[in-house]
Amino acid sequence: MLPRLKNLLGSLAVTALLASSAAVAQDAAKPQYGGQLIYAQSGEKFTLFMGRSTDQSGQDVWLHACETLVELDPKNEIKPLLAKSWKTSPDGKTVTFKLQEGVKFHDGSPFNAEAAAFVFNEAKAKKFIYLPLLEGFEKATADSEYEMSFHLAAPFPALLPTLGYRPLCIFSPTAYKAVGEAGLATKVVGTGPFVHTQFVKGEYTIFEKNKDYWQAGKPYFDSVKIVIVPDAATRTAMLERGEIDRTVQLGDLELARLERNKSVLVRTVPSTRQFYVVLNHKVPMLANPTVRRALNYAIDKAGIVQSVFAGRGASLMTAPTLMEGVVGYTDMRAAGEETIFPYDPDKALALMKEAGYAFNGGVLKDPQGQPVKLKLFTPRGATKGDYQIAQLLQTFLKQVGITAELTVMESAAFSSATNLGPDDAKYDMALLSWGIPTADPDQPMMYFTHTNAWKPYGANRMFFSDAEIDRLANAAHIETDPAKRNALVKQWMARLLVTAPVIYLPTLNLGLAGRTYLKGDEILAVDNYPAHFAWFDKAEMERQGVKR
Amino acid sequence: MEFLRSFSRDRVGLFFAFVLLALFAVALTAQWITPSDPFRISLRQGMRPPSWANWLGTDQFGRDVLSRVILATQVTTKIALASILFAVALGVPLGMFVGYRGGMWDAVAMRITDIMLIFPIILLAIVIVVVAGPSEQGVIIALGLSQMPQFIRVARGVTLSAKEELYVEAAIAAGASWPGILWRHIWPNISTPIIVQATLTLPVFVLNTAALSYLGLGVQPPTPEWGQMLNEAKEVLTSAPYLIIGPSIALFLFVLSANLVGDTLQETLNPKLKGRRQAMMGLRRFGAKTPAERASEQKGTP
Amino acid sequence: MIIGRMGFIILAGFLLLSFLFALFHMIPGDPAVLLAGDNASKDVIESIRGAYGFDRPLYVQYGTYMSHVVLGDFGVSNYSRQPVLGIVLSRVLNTAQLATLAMIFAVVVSLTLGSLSATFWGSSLDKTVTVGSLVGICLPVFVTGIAGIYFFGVYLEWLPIAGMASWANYVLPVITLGTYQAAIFTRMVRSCMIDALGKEFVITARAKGVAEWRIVLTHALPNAFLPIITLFGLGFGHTLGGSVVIESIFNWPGLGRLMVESVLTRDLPIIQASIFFFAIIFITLNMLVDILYTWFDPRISY
Repeated sequence: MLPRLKNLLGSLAVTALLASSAAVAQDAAKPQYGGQLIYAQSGEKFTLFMGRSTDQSGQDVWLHACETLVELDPKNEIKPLLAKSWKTSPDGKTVTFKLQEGVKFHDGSPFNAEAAAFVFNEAKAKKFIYLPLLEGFEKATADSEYEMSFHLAAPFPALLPTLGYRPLCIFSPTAYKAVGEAGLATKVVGTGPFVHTQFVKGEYTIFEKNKDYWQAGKPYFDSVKIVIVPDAATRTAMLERGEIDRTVQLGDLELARLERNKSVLVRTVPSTRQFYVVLNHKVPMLANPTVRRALNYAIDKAGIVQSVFAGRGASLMTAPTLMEGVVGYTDMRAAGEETIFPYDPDKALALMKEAGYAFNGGVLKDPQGQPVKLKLFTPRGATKGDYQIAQLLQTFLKQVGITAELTVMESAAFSSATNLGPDDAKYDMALLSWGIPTADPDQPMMYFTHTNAWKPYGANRMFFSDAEIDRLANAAHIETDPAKRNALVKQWMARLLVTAPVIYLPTLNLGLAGRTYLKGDEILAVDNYPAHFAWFDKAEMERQGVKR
Repeated sequence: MEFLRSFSRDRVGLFFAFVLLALFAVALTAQWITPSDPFRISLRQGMRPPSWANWLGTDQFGRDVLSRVILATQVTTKIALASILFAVALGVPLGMFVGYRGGMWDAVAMRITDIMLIFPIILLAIVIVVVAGPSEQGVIIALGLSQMPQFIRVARGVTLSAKEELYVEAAIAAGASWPGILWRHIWPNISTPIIVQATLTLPVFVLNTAALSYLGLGVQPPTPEWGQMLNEAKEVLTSAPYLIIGPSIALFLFVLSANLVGDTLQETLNPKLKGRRQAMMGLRRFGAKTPAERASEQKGTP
Repeated sequence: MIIGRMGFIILAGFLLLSFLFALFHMIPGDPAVLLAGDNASKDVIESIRGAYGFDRPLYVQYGTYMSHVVLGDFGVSNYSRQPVLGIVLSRVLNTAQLATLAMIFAVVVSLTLGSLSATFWGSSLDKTVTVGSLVGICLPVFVTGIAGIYFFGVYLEWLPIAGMASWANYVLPVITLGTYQAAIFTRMVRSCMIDALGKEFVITARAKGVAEWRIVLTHALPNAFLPIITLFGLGFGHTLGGSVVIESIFNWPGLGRLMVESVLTRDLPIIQASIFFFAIIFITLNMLVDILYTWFDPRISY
C-alpha cells in the first residue's frame, strides 16, 4: 500500500487520481483514540451561521459540528449521512427522505423530520445565501417522525448534490429560535461528531468530542482546534516545526521542498474551481464571438500553469467551466491537444483579421483604425495566483497587439466593481474564478451563462445571451434521466466552445499538507478537507518529537 | 566652495554621497542601462540562479532581476522625491503662515501636527490605500501627509525667529502686507533648513515605500519596487533564495547612503550642531521638539 | 492644562470617529456583497442587508452608532455579531504586550550600548556599535523577521514561530521589533551622551578625579535624560505602529492585524474602533511625554 502511495506522490501526471487513491491508501491500521488536532486555515471567517456565508474555509468548520442530509465522498459520489435513504415520486416533484433515528442535537433537542423541514423552510423564508442553489424548491414537510419530503415546482436532478453542500447542514431549530441568526454567528449547534465550544474571531475555533455521537465509536480525537494563520509561509513553517498537524492553501513553489520532508505528507487534487476572464459583451468589440475566440487562443495556459503555479497549483482545462468529477463532464479537447483553445497566437491573429481587425507593427487596430485598448480588472489575493495571472494576461495580449490596462483592486473593492448591472459595469475584462461546490453542472448552466442570470440577478457578468445556451440549460435543469441530462450538458459545453463567452483559464488544484502521523484525513475536489474522523498514530507522533 | 570643502572633510560622508549620486544616476538613466527588458516574460526561464546572462537570476516569470532592480531604483526615487515635494509644497506655506500669524492658528496647527507626527505612517497609509486604492499616488499621498508636519514645524520655527528680526519688525511697522513679508523676508531664510529636513526624510520615505509595497499597499505589479520584489521573493525563499539578494542590497545601500549624507549635510551646514546633531536629527524624525523649540513655542503661543 | 488635554483627546476621538464613519461608507466595497460571495443574486444580497441592518438610511446608522459609542458600546462586528469592544480590547492588550516588551528590550539595549559607545568614543567598540546601529536602521523588519523565522524556527528549531502560546513565542517577535527600535535609539543615546560628556561640569568632575563610571552614571546620564525620555516616549508610539508588520509575519493576534483584516472584509465597526483606539493610545502617549518633559525640565511649564 505505502510504496504505491509514494509512487503516486512522485508522479505529476496522476494527480487527478490522487484524491481517490490517497483515501484508499490510508493505513488500514486500527484507529487510536485521543489527542487534539490542530489545523491551520488561511482566512478570516465571515460568520459561522451557514445561512449567511459562502466562505470556502467555513465548510471545514461546519462539518465538525453540523451535518448535512447526504454528503459527497472523495470520488464526488453521494453518500447517506443524516438521511438513510431517499425516494423520488414518479412525477419527480417530491423527494422523500428517511432520516437517521435517535439522533440528538448538541443542545439536547431531538433531530427529526420536523427539525430538518424547519431548516429548509426557514432558508426559503429568510432567503439564505444558498437558496438560489435550490431552484424550484417550494417547501419541506415532515410526513412522520423520521420522514421528510421536499416539494419541488419541477423535477430537479441537482437536488441531492446540492443537499451535500456543507452550508445546507441541519442546525438545531431550538437553538436558532432561542438566539437567532446573530447568536449562531459565533456558535455552531448541530448533530456532528464534535461540539463547538469556543470561537475567537480571527484567531481560532475549538471543538470538543461529542460523547453521544450517533455513529458508534467515532470520532477519535478528543478535540479539534482550527487556527487562522493568514501568511502561507508562516503556515508552512509551523507545519514543518510540528506546531500544527495539517494545513491547506499551500504556496505552490514550496511544494517540492515540503515533499522532501519525510514527516510531511503532501496531497494535491484538481479542484472544481476554474479561472476565467469575464468579457463584457456590452463592449462592441467583445460582442463578436470570433474576437472572443481569438482572445482565447492568444493566452498561453501552459505558461500560466508553469510559472504562476509552479506546474503544480493548477491544471490545464479540458472543458469549458466544468472539470473531471462534475456530473455530466466530458473531455472537450480537440484530438491530440492538451487543453481547450490551445495557445496559438497566429490563429488568434487570423481570427482577429477575419473579424475585421488589422495587426500592424505590433499594434492591433479595429475596423475604424483605432488601436485596441481594454481595461482589465483584477483582485489581489481573492484566489491564489489571481493578480499574477493578470500580469501574464497583459503580456499575452500585448503579443497580439492589444493594450490591456491593468487595475489591481483589493478584493472588497473588486467585488463591488464586478457586482453591477449591464449599464453600470465599468470593466472590459475582469479576472475571476468559478467554483462548483456541489459538483453538479446545474449552477453554472443556470447562474453563469444563462440570459436570466445577468448581473445583478445571477453571475452572468459578461451580459452574454445565447438562445441555444439558454434552451440547453432549461432542458437539463429538469431532465431526470442521467444519460439524457449528460447529453444536454455536453451540447451546452460544445456551444460554449463556439460562442466563447469568456476567456477560459486553468483549473485550480487544491493542496493539503499534513504530518505523517495524522491518519485518515481526506481532501475533496470541492475545496473540503475533512479530518473529523481522522486519528493520530501516537507512536509515530512521539518518534517525530511532537508533544502536546 | 566653502561648503564643498567642509563636506569633503568627512570621508565616509563623501564616499556615500558618491554612492547616492550613483544611485540617482541609475534612477535617471534606468531605461537605457537595464541589460534586458525588465518586463519581458519568458515563462520557461523562470527562477534561474545568477548567471552571466542574468547577474541576479530571473524571477518567477523569467524576468531579469537585475533589470528590475535597476528600474525599481527609478520607481522608488520618483516616489520618494514626489512625496518630499508634496510634503514641502503643503507644509512650508502652512508652517510659514501659522508661524507668522501665531495665536489660535498656531495653537491648533501645532496640536494637529502633534497627532499626525505620532500616528504611524503604516496606519495612515492603510486608510489612504483603502480610499484611493493601492497605487503609487496612494503611497505619495500617504508618505507626503505623514511627513508634512515636519516641514510645517521647520518652516514655522524659522518664521518665528525671523519675525523677531529688526528688519521684519520694521517692514511690519511700515505696513507691508503679510504675504509680501513672508515672501521677501522670511522665505530666503527657509531654504537651508528645508533642504536638510528633506535629506533626512529621504531614507525614511524609501524604507516606507518598500514597507508599503511589501504589504501589497504600494506600487502594483508589474512595475518593480524593492519591497514588492522582496514580498515575491519571500514566497520562494527556500527554493530560490538568491532572489532576495538584489532588492535587499539596493534598498540597504540607498537607505544607508541617504542616512549618512543627511548626517554629513546637516553637520556641514550647521557646524554648531556638531555632537548634538544626531540627537536632534533623531528627535526631529520622531516629531519631538527640542528644548529651544519648546521655549520659542511658549513665546509664540501666548 | 491636563484637563484641557483630556478634553482635546475626547473631542479628537469623536471627530475621528465621524470622519471614519463617513470615509468608510464612501469607499467602494459593500459588506453584504462580500458576505454573499461572487455569484450571489440581487435578492440574496438584499436579504443580508435587511438581516444585518445595512439597509437603514446612513444618518440613522450614524446616529445609532455615535449614541451607542457615548455609552461605551462600539456596536457588533458586521459578520460575527460579537460586541466590538470585547474583540478590540483583547487585541489592544496583545499588541501592548508585544510593544511594551519590545520597548523594554530596545531601551535596555540602547542605553547600555549607547552609553558604552559614548564613554569609549572613537574606540573600536564605538565603531562597531555605530556601524551596527546604522545597519539595523537600514534593515526593514519584514526582512529580519522572515530571516529569524527560518533560521531560529525552521532550521535550528529553537523557537516556535507563530501565535502567543508560551513565553518562547514572544522571543522572536519581541527581538525583531525591539532590535529595530534599539538601532534607532542607540544612535541617539550615543549622541546625547557624547554631548553630555563634553559639558563643563563633567570636565570639572573629571578634573576632581571622580571615577569615569561614576561620571557616566551620575553626571552625564541624568543630563542626557531629557531628550532620551522624549525619544523613548515617541518611539513607543512607533513601536506600536511597527507591530502591524510584525503581527502579520508572526501571526500575532494583535490590533494591527485585526485592523488590516477588517479593512479587507469591510467590517466597518471593527475598523472604526481599532483606529479609534490606536489614535487614543497615540494621543495619550504624546500627552504623557509632554508631562514627563515638564517634570524633568523646570524651564517649561504648562
